[in-house]
Amino acid sequence: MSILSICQWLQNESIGTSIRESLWTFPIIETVHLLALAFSVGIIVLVDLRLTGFAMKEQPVTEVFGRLQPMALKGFAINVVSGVLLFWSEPLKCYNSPYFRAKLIMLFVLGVNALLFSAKTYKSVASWDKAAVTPVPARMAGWVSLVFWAGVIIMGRAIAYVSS
Amino acid sequence: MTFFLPFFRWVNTSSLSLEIRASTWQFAVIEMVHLIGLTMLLGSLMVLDLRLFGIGNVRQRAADLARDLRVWLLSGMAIILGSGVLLFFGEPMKLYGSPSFRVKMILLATALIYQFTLFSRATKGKDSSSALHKLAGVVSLVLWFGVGLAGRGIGFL
Repeated sequence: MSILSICQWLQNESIGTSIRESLWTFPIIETVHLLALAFSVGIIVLVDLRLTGFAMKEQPVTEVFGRLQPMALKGFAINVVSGVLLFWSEPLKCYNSPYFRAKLIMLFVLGVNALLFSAKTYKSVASWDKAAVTPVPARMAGWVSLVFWAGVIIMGRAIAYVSS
Repeated sequence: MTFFLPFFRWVNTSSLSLEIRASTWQFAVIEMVHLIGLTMLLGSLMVLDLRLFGIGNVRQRAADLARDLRVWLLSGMAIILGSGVLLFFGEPMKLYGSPSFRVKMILLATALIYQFTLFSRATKGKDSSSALHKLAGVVSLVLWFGVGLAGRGIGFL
C-alpha cells in the first residue's frame, strides 16, 4: 500500500471528512495548533537560547532544562495531536504540498537532534552546568533547533497557501 | 468606526499597500515573520507568567527572570508589531470590515498598556508568589492569548 493510497483512504474516512466539512471544527483545531506554538516552540526557543549562550546565562543548564523541558513537551503534545487532526482533515492536500514534506523532514531532523543531544551531549552536563558558554556540541544542538523550528513554522504557514 | 475610515482609505492608496498587494509572495512572507514573532513573544510571556503563578523556574526570583527574558520578549514584540503593521498595509479595507480585527486592536492596546504599567510594576516586587503576582500573570496570558485568538479570527470570520 503506497503512502498516496493511505492518504486517499484517510481523505474519505469519516473523522477527516467530518472535520473538513464542519464549519467550526477545522478553525478551532487550527487556532489551538497556532496558539500552542507559544507553549511548545516558544519554550523550546528559550531552552535553545540558554544552550547557545543568549539567555538566562546565570542559571544552571539543568535548572533551565528541568523546569522548562516538561512544559515544552506538554505543549509539543498539544501540537502533535492538533497537527495529526489537521492532517487527517486534508491528507491529499498535505501529500501534494512540498511545504508539508519539507516540514516533516525538518521535524525529523529536530527529533534526531534532540535524541543525540539527550543521549550524548547532555550526559556530561555536570561539567558545564554553570558555564555561561556551553561546549560546542551543546551550542550546535541549540542552533540546529532554533533554525529548524523557525523552518517548521515557515513551512507550516506555507502549507495553507498551496491551492489543491 | 467611520471616524477611522479616512485613515484606512489613505493606507489603502499608499504605495506600500499597493506594492504588498501586487506581490504574490510578500504578504505570505510577512505573515511567516509575524508567526515567528508570535512564538518569541508568547513563548517568553508564557514562561514569565507561569513563573508568576509559581510554575516552572521557581528557584529564580520573578524579577530576575523578567530581566533575563526582557530582551527576548521585547524583540518578539518588535517583530510581531512591525510585521503586523505591514500585514495591515496588505489588506486595510478587509480589516476595516472585520469585527475580529477591531476586537484584536482593542485587546492589543489594552495588553500593551497593561504590560508596560501594572505588569512591569508587579514583576519588580520582591515577594514572588503573592496573589498579586498570580493575578498579574493570568491577566497577561488572557490578554495576549486573546490578541492571538482574535488575530486568527481575522482569517476565518
